[in-house]
Amino acid sequence: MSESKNDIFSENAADGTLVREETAELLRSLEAILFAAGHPVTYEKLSAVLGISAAEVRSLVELAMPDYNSEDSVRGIMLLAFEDSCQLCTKEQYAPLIKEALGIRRGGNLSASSLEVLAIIAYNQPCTRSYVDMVRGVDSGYVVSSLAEKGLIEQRGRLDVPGRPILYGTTETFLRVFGISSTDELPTVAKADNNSADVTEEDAVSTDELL
Amino acid sequence: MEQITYRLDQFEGPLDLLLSLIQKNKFDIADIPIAIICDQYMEYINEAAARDLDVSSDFIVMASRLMLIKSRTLLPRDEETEEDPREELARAVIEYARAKEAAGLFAGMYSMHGGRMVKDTDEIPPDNTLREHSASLLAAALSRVLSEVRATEQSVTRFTPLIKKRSVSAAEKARSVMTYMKGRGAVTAEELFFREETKTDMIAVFLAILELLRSQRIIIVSGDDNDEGTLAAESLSFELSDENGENIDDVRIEE
Repeated sequence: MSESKNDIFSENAADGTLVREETAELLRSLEAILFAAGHPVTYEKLSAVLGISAAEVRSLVELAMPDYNSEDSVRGIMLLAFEDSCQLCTKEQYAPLIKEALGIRRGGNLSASSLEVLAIIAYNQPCTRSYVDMVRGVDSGYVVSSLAEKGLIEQRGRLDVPGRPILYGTTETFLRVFGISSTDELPTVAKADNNSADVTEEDAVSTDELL
Repeated sequence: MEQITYRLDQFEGPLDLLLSLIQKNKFDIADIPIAIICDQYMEYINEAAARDLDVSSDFIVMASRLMLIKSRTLLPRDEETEEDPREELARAVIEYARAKEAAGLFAGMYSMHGGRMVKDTDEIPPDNTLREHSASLLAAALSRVLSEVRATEQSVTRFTPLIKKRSVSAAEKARSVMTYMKGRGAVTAEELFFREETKTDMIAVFLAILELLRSQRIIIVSGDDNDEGTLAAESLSFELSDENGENIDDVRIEE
C-alpha cells in the first residue's frame, strides 16, 4: 500500500470496470466497518483504521457511492456521506417491506408540532428551547424532548446567559431521514430580512448574534 | 404532556390561529387591521370556550395582547419615536409563518426519505479467552503500590489506634472489588489497590483478586493485545467475567 491512493482512485474514475486489488480491499473494509457500526463513522476514524488520509477516505466513499446509490444499483442499502462522516442505511422505498417483514405496524410519523420545532431548530441552530417557544408562541418543552429522544436533535452545549439554557442542533439522523447531507442543503424559506433579527430578544438569543 | 391545542381546531398555538385569520381575510401582515383581527380572534376563543373546552393559557395571553395592542392603536402616538404597536406582533406572525412554511417543506422531505433505516451497532462480545499471564505481574503491581504507600503511611498514623490489629476479610474485599468493577469495564490493578488505605487492606485486595481470578469471576484483560508478553504492571487490568461476574452475593473465600 505504498502507492498513492489518489492515483488508484483516479484510474478507477477513468475506467469504471477496473478496480485495483488495493482499492477493492479498501472498499470491502469500508463496507464491513460501516455495516457493523450502523451509526455514522467519521472520516477521521476511518482514516486511522484504514491507514489512508482523511481526504483519501472521502475519495474512497465517492468511489463506493455509485455501487450503492446509482439508479441501476442492485443494492437495497445506500451509502450516505455527511460533512465528516458516512453511514449505510436502507433505501427509503423498501421501508414498507422492511416494516412488514419485521412486523412493525406503526410509528415513524412526525406530528405537525414536531416538524415546526424541528424546522425552527434546523434553521436557527444552535438555539435554545425558549427561542423555539417564542417563535411558536406555545410551550414546546415536550416536543423538544421527544425530538431529542428520537435522536433528531441533540444538545450543543449551553448558552452563556443567566440560567445557562441548553442549545439544540440537528443530528446526522435528521440529515438522513430528511434526505440531505448537510444543513446547507436545507430548502430556502422566504426571509423577512428587514425585521427578523429584531424578533430575537432577551433570553431567546439567536445564533446570528452569537457567532 | 403536550398542551392540548388541537381542540382549538388544528391550530398549533395562538400564532397559528392568528396567522390563519390573517390569511383567511387576505390581510397584509405589515398592516394588520387590529380591531377586526382582535374581534375574530375573541370570537374564536369564546366559541372554543363555549364548547366546554379548555382554552390553553397561551391563547388567553394572546387575546390580552391583542386587546392591549388594539387599545394602544386608539391612542395618539409620536410617529418618530414610538413604534407602531402592531409591529412586534407582525414580526412574531412573520417569524411563525416562516417556521410553518419550513415545517411544510420538512413534512415533504420526511415523507420522502423518512424510510431510511439504520441498524444498531453490532455488539461484539468481549474476548473471554483466558491467557497466560505471569503471576509476577500482580506481585509487581502490588509492590509498586505498597512502596508508594509506605511513604505516605507514616504521616497518616499520627496517633496510636485503640484497636491495634484490625482483621480484614478477603471475602469482604472480593465483594467490594466486584461491586466497584460492576459497570466500569476494565479496571487496573493499581486502581483497585489505591482504593485502600492501609497495607493490610491492600494485601486483602491482593488475595481477593487472586481468588476472584481463580474462580473466574474476573478475568485479566491486558490493555493492548500486542504486547501481551511484555505487559507492564501498570496496564494489568481486569474485567468481570460474563458467566460468574454478575452475582456478588455468593462470593465465598476460605479465610
